Amino acid sequence: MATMKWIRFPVVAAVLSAIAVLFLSGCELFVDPAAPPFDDRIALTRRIDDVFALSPRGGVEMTVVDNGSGYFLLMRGPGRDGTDRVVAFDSSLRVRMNRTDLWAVPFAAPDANGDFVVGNVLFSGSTFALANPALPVPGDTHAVVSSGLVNGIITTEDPAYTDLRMSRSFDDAWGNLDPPGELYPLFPDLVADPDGLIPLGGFELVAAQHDPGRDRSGVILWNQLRARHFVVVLARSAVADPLPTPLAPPQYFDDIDDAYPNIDETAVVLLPTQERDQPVFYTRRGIVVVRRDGDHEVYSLAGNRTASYRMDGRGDFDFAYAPDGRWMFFVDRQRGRLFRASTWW
Amino acid sequence: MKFPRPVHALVAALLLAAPPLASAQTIRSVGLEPPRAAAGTEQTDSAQRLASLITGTFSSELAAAGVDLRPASAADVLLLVQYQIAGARLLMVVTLTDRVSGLVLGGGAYTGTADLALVTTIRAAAEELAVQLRDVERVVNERPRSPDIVRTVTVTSVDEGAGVLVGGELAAGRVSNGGLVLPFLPMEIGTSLLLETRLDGYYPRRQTVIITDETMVVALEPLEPIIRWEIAGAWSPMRWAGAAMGFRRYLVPRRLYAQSTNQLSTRYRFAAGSRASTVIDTRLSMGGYVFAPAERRLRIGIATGVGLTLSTLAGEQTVYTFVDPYFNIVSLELRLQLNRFAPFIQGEMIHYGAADSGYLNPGTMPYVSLGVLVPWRP
Repeated sequence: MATMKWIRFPVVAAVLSAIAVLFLSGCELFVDPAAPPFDDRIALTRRIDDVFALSPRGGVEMTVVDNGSGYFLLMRGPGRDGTDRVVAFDSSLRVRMNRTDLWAVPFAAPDANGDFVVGNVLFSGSTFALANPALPVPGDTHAVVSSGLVNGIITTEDPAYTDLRMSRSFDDAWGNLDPPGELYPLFPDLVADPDGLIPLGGFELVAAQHDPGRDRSGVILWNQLRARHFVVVLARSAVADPLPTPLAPPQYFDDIDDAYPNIDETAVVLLPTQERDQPVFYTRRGIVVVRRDGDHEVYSLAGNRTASYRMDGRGDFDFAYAPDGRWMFFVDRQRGRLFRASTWW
Repeated sequence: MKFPRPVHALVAALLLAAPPLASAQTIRSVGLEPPRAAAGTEQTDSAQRLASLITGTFSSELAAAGVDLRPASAADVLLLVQYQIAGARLLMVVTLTDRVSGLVLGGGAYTGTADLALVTTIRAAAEELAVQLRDVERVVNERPRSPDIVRTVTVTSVDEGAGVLVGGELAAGRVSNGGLVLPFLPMEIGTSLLLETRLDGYYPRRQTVIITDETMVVALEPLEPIIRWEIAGAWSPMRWAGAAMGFRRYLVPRRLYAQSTNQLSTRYRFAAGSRASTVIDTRLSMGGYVFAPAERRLRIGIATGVGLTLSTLAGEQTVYTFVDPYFNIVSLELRLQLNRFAPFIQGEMIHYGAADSGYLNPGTMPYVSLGVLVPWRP
């Protein structure tokens, strides 16, 4: 048995130690390359290829709307009949709404009554049944992005998105206020660059999510000059009690509390993104960025990365996170399957 | 298992190749063998007393003549006395032979009477024989010294009962209690000796040893069993919470095999929010070791196969079951054959299709696994 001597303890110990180090370091070697992402957290799944005509190249756009008592997944993508569709899935992944209206899904939001606003259409907060097909949103409104909590809106006055403005234009029943609320500049030239130079040319509104559990809304903006996403987190009072008079916009982020004393607990997070189309989701437990290769990163409101999940380009998936940070949804475009999973961090 | 009979030609060749002992070393000692009575001599008490007398007298007279006397088993030269009694006359034929080679070195015939004059006759014979021995010794010392040869070769082996062949043909015996003393092989130090070990159920193994000393102990390499079945145990870091077990049947020993493998694992991650699941992977494959001589300990194998991955997930108030068929495009295995088992590392490419019954990512994926193969007798 002399030939076995060399394979004894030192070699075995070295091999086991190397395996342990690789495992603890999160080496990709310990990930099943065939497994779907978050495969140990899948709570529900269903096929959606009966609704959507998915392909590895053609994905869907998703957002999760939450009114505090329930949530729906809104999905926009190519239907099997060749037309784009917007479909609402409830928390059991049953289809509750399936329409061909081409709303901007990322701006869907709950209103003050717990119903959901998608574009200028109001849906029931419990069944997603059609409640009001034509809300009186001003014609120059580019997007109703933050009607949640109270029926104020954030509008973009011009397509160049050099300015975002907020107003409380409606009462809780979506009746026009008389007189209508004034528009207030909300985020003009909000963030300075590190050198304190004159910063930005403006923002592009990308998405907004609303967490009724904590009365917070996350408005996700894109700045082309800096090629970064910004997430502005608004507290309820920021929407409910707009400023009595417009103030000159601050030049620098550090001045924001002084300049806007009523916008309490407002936070602005600069994300290390580089592409406008990288999905960004505001959740109660952090801001999630999905990279092009599928990697997920979670950032705190201080802008620090607190967690990450490596996908390394495995598979063809689209993702969405619920505002409460408990659930995530993803679609396997190759298999035409939708998953609901608990969040991973 | 039958071993070839000793080949006399080989023995003869070995003996001829070796110089006789007389020319190999100086003669120093003589051993007396018991006297032998010629055929027809009655074995009476008086005959036996005569034999004792012959032995005793030769011993004392040779010693007196300066000959180194030793027991026959330890002497260089054997002195054999054959005697015959004819009436009162006594005839003695004395032979000096090399104890190892059996060559006759000297001797003579001596006559006398079987009485007290016997002492005188033996004394004269002893003196003459002593002269002959000194002559042989002198001649030997004047000749060039021949090369040393091996005296004893002992082999040790873990394969109890294994037969050992010398030169590939001469059966030297079987290993008993872990060892075997080979018969005398008059081989020069510095030459090589081919040993072959054979045992039922094992591959024969040949090894060549260099004769380096007069007394050698050679450890025979362990024999490798002829494997028909193997049990494979494996672990893949990609599915680290689990293990695989397989049965391998060799269609051609060491070369070609068929294998079935079952892997059981879970995707549960031992963390909050992780859900229970089981993954059963069943595969049938064919493979072989074709890249190197089968006798090598380190071998590279290649295999291909098909399989099914059955995934069961504990969903929210429901259980999901998915079946993903796959094609094992290629598996490359690096195997180290040890005495009783063979650790291996395997890399493989798996292609999953997009069957409606499945949920795994379609495409071709690399996998790595570590494992061990153990012979098995079903």
